[in-house]
Amino acid sequence: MLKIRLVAKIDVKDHQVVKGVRLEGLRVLGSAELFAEKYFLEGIDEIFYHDVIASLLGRNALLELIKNTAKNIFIPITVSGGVRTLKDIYNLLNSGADRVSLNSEVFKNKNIISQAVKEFGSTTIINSMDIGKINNKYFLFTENGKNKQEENLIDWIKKIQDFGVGEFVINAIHKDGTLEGIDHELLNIIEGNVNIPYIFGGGIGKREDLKNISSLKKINGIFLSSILHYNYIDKNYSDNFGNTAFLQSNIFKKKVEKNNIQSIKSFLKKNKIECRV
Amino acid sequence: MKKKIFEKQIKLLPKTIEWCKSCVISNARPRIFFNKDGICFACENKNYKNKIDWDKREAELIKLLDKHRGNGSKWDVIVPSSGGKDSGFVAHQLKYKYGMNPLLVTWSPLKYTDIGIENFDSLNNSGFSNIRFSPNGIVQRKLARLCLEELGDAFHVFVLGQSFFPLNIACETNIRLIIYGENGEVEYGGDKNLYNKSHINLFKDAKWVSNYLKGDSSIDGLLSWGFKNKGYLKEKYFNQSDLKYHRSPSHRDLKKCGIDRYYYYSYFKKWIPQENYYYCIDNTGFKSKLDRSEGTYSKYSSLDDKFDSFHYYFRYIKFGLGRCIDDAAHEIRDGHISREEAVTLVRKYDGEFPDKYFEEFLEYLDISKKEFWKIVDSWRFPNVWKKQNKKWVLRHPIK
Amino acid sequence: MPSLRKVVIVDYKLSNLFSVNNALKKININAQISSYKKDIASADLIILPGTGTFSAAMKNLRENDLLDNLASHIKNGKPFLGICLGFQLLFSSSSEIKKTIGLNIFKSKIKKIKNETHAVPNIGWNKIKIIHKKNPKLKSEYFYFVHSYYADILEKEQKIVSSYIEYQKNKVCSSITYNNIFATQFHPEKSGKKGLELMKNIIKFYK
Repeated sequence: MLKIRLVAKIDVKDHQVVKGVRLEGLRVLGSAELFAEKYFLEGIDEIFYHDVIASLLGRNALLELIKNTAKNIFIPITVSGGVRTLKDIYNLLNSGADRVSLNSEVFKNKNIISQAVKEFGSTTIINSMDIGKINNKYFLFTENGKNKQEENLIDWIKKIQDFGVGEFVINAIHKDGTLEGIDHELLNIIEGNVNIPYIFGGGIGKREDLKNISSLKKINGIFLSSILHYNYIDKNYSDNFGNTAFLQSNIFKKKVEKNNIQSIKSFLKKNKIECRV
Repeated sequence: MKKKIFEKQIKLLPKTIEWCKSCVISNARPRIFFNKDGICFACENKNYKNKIDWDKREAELIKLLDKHRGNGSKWDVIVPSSGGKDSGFVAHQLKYKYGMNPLLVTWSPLKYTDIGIENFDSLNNSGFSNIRFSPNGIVQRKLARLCLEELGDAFHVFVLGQSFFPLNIACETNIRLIIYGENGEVEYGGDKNLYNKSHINLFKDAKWVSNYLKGDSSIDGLLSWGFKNKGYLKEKYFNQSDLKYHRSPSHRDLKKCGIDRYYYYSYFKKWIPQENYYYCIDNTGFKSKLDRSEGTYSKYSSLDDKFDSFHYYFRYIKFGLGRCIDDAAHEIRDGHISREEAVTLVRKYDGEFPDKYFEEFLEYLDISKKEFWKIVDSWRFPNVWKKQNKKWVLRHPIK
Repeated sequence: MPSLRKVVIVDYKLSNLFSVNNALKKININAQISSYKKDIASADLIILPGTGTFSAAMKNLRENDLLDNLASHIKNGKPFLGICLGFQLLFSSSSEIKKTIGLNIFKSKIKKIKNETHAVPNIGWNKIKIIHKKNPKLKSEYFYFVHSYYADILEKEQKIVSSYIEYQKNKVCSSITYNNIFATQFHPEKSGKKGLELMKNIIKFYK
């Protein structure tokens, strides 16, 4: 029976949860720490923090956030965003991250993954792929969706696997934040071409969206963003920069199927997908 | 340096370019004003949005709409629209929140992008009638070239229609209420006399209108000069009726129809472009691009025209201000990003050459690459550019 | 009963020590993180956590001159908790990166998980199956695993296995209990509330 772990993907900017659509827009939904803690208490299997500004500013500012989170939650924490050097990885692990993901840097320096795997082990190093569909073709994106790359997707997957990376995290960015459901075509391409575990997500808006994945074999996890965040809105936001218009007013609304982590897990179990309950 | 007689804004270029300490606009932007602390007027007033009683403004809006609301059997408000997120927001709110019957009016882009067509259709399919006009292609292309050479902006020919086509339709359909989205001067920092004004008065604010159009509200002066001086502009191609919508209706016609103004929705609602994006995603099927627009980091603004980026590129050449600066400055004032982040974005993306549609642009204008670069260089002025190691660099890059 | 006044988490520069320490803090245990042999030598309970490669781990332990004190602590029957890599290091050798000798407390070897029915590494939550209900109080719950290598327990050492998981049609050892040694392939400090509960039981086991 397929076993899935549920990962909460939390896009972060200045300690705040932000959520865009198709990687555009950085609407603030609350405090990252509070969201992570809430998800932990409600039974999420893993937290994935993604720093959306790190690649641009040339640094990963999550250290403080990770330290604070690790004091209160006792499930794996994976981090990504602007990871460039072995020192970056070391600092993140030392702050309490369990695994570190790389994306943009790999396009500039292909050796970084094998160096990181050698230093930290393959189970610690993962590769995030932001994949978008344009005119029926799939492209890889870097810098939080700002730049399109020309590499062939399948060749890229094989190359990264050869470097010894432990897992893939795949985001269908043309679906991300839309709540429209999974891109099954992309999911099947991934399933058919990887030989390491992977986490898939982007667009999951209803429990029903997860119905048909039980026939897959290599998928190891599903990540959830909007479907969780909009059900857990927390009006605790700071005075930091950010688009807090949604939180501040009652004018902007968001329709999303009522869900929590347990309801999603129950649905998985009912559909013959094993998960931790 | 060839004299540029039609682009009146160029004369007002400051000798030394300075940057706003709060946002990333420079004093080179036409109609901008800096206070003694080196802060631009738009930033000085950035908090004004938080001080406004928006309930009161909404009451004003409802009062205005009540005056014009039809009984459902006819259109009662014109919304100039490209199919983008801003006009989509305005149209949808007017119809579904305030019970109006908008007619969307679209002046075709120079060359449609795929996503532009998609978004146009999505908005149309959300329940809106739309009158879309495509100007005579030959006229448009020759005018575009003329504008590029003499105004430093091929896009000007689009701006004319964008400004005047809705007015013409208003006259022809007798719809007296016209509502645009954002007041660019308020949102991007321009004429301080326009703050706290819900509308532009076509007769009283005529000076502003002409300033907005690079100093000349009419295409005619430029055109007749062009017939005399440009080999590719033959009067025989130019049927006056093809230029009807590039011009404002006459004052007499406007008065006859009872139209003396157009409104800005951004006066009545707290205008946050990013939230317009989210709104349209939920309500009109709007989609952003996946790859970012050239010259900036954003993916949801002005997506419909392949040649739009050349408008910004030439603005960068003329004033040292590209597209990223507008996006970033707006976001700083909205409190979305810090100046540090904005400066990083500007250094990274502003002035990026729009390579994607370059070949198509040349073909559209019927000029060679060599001619293109000659035109570009004719718009480099010494207060903005200097040569360093045989390369053009900004004399005063952002600080 | 040994007292637990001094709990030392061994820092051999290869792991996320803070998770273990944070978890201990949560259950009101004060621990010291140290890479000094004198702390190892005077510890009541030694915790050897770890993520990374077997060969790098042994190298660091050797370079910090901790191997002797670790071995004698264990051989003297003093309380020892090994987690993940810290569990694997107890065995005789591993083929990870290159063949490396471990602490050799047990003779079984560490081998690579073969990619038969699932992708490798084993990342995720598995429900452990209890073999002997001896202390510490193990419950058949889901715990978090993340590893590419596993302990291939020899026939003669089967008695140390206290729990296992079903993985790739095989039974894979998930924890061992032997005298005062308790070690887990999984990460109790990363296994949510159940993991913290287990850590409480482990401390109780040693007190």
